[in-house]
Amino acid sequence: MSKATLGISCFYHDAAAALVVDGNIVAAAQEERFTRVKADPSFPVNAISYCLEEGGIEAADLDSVVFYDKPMLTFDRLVGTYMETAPRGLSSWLEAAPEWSARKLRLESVIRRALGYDGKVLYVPHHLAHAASAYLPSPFDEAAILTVDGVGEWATATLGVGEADEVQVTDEMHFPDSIGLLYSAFTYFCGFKVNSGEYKLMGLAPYGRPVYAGVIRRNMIRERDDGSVELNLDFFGYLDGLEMITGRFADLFGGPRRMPEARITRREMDIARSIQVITEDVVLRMARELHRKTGLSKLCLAGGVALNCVANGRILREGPFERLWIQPAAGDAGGALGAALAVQFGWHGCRRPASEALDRQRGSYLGPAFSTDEVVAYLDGLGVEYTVLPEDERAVTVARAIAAGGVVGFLSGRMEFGPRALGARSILGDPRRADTQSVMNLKIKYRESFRPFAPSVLAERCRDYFDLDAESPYMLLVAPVREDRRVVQDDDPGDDLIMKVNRKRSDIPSVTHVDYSARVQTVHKETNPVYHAVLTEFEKMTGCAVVVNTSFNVRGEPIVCTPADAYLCFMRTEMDYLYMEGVWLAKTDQPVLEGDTDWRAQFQLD
Amino acid sequence: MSPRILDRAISAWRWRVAEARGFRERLISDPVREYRAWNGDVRWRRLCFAHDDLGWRFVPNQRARVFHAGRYHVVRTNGHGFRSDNEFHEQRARRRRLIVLGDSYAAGDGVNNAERFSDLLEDLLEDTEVLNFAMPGTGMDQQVLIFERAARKMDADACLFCPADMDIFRLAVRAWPALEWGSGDIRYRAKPYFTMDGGELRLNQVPVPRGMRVRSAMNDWGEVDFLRAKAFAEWQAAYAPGSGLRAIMDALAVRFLAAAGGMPVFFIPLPSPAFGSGDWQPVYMDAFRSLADADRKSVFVDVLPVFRSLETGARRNCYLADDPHYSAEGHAFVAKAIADGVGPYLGKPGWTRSL
Repeated sequence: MSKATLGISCFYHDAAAALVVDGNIVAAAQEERFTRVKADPSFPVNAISYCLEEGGIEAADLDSVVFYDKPMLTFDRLVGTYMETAPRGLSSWLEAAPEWSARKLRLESVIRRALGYDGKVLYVPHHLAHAASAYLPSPFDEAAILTVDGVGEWATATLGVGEADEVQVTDEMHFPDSIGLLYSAFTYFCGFKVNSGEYKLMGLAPYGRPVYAGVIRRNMIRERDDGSVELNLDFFGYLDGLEMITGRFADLFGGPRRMPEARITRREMDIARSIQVITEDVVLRMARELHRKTGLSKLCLAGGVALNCVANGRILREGPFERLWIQPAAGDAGGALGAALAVQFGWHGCRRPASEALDRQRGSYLGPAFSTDEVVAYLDGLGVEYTVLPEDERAVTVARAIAAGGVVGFLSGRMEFGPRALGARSILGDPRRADTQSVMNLKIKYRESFRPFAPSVLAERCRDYFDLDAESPYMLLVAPVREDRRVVQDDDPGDDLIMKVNRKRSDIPSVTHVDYSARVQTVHKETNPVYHAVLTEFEKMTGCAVVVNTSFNVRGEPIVCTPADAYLCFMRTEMDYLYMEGVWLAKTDQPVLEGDTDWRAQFQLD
Repeated sequence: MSPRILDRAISAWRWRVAEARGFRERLISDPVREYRAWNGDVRWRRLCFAHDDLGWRFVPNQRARVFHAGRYHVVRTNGHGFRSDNEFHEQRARRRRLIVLGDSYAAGDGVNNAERFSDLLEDLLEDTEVLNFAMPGTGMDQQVLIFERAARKMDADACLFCPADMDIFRLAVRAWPALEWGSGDIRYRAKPYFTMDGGELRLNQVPVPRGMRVRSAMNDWGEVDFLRAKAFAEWQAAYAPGSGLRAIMDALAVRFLAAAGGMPVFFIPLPSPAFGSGDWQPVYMDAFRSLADADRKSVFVDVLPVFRSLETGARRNCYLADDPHYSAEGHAFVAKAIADGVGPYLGKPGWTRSL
């Protein structure tokens, strides 16, 4: 008899829902994509509705609903921490208490009311949900599991094992010692937003030198051989206050934190590099410890820190594991999926389906798709010019536009689950052009110019461009650009970030980071044939099997979901073309968007 | 302290803290209500698209879970762009076939496809297939056009013309409100409309202009008080013999009957809450009753008595909460009334074909 489980994550950050039926992932989506509020933590009303729509079922048909966290354990940590630090944490307590009282401690009734559901409501521990999301969709039948994030209940990192349909967490590192919170503290200090700016810090790191690593190690963190850490809490404010760091933190780095949007200096670059190196070392030691304990050859990763693709790349290159699989929605959103999977296999007794081409995650294309008819319906409502391309001209048209230097908004198939755009909601450009990075950053994404773009490469041609001996369908591995493609730079541009960014570093300069690395997405025909066809045509035209792939949004905006979101983003930026499910729009044919002058105020900068 | 007292104490404290800090809204513990209170009716699926002849049609092959009047329902459309779980084939199988025309009442706003009276009729009338061509927001003008352009070519035994009582007012308008995708804002889209020109119907605004307009910039699309509740006197005036709207309605009926050829037609006006759950005299009734003509095989079917026979509470339950459309219960009553009214004619010699 069929079993359906709805997984929910919310109320902390990045709310999401996932539907799993008989062990198969049917749908998963983040609430932010529907509400257009970045990392929206609110109850995922829309994501749930979408999952039920995709599954063709109603709430009454569900066999279980599961939350990705045990609120009582988290509350226990909060109360314990406040008592420990009383009375200093009073303001923080007053801030948090009503929310806890109204919702987090009444989750079951909140879920029942929202869904009109009277079946089983279950809870899965936070890190078990991460572990389940890491192992159960992976292609492996046996693997070691490492989860690392800020904190979930008491745990901040766990080691575990997955075997057949079972997931087990064997070791935990506990709050307040957290490599995730440490990274977030530095994210905050460098002027980026906690829980969303961490990847900016990672992107900034290659511009700096690890000159502060010693200072950090001497003062803030004690690293043990087994990968666990102990933080010096004199430097961190997250226990008793509303800020991540204390005044002593700033003293250590010669001055106050960088204010958001202020100029990035050598100090921030060096701090970013320093904490990145420490994080990589810690995670690598955790992986080695896990390997020592389990003796397994495959590793699955999840938790927010698993989005640190530079660290992931090091684990793959320097770590003891032969193969690596990382949950593409490694953060809290993926907890919804993990919790649902954990209940399906651990509670309902479902069996894992056979692995598909790459894994059981289906390319992470788990969100809503929109038909050509829906796209046309929307555009007709606007009364704008468009062309419906014949099926056999679609890939060629997109590829031709990119090859001619155009920047193309690309909406195709089911939306991605997770923070990376993987060719379903992407902006595409030509990686061979030296100016693509700055043009796309400043005129299209409206974001910091230092931030690198990622390459999508035909999976079968990956090794021609990158030193990467693995598949990377979820853009979660950083690998070096092959040496024979690099352009060696003899002169040093000093501290000028723009000068550094604009230097040609390889024959695919727009996706080659300052340290000759790239955050690679391998594109597979089995999981995204449409996108694969675009790359194939692009290679036929240019000899280059790589395109620039960045998420289809502007800074502070969630990645687009619907054709309406895509059209608005297209019109608000300097993109040249928009492709939506076979419908082709040229910017030059479009009327000016009237009354849309203050759209930037809609999105809070991240 | 008992859990109940503790719970009340916590609740009281919660309110005090919340009020003091000014975020009472955080304490609403029904997330769907809360979400809608802040965001309105946001949808990520588009249900209709602009159509050159008809004004709009459903997006074909759509499956959308829609929040409407406090509950979710699923709208499924077929490849022809009509709300149905099944494809429409021109040739009928070995079953009797009925065509349904109408607006959102017949299309089933607020309920699942299977809960609509059209779908329930398939169970109530033996060996009968019902093709639902109803389109939300349409007036009788567009419903006749839908028949001419899409429904007429179907091999059918009879047509159930089921406009809602208020559809006569839609004959006067040139545009209709539509939900803007994503933002949830109301925009207006153009529709075809008829005028009387020397005693003849004249079709205007075809092809229908594309694009949506905001209320402040309707220009030649005219007035925008479409959704205002009408006073009883306005209903009387609209349906009065000789009124401008009644003249268009009667002319449309003639045009429709001509298009139907010899196919039996059942005129079945559907009562909105003003008449179905209230006590107003059904002023629309005579206008439809006058269209009945046994020689022409046109029949008037009155579903109002089924509503009027119910107690007040049960009558209200026939409609969705805070919304004028029929609930699943309402559709069931309507289906029964229609089956009773139409059933005797099905298979009647000279009326419909025998199977």
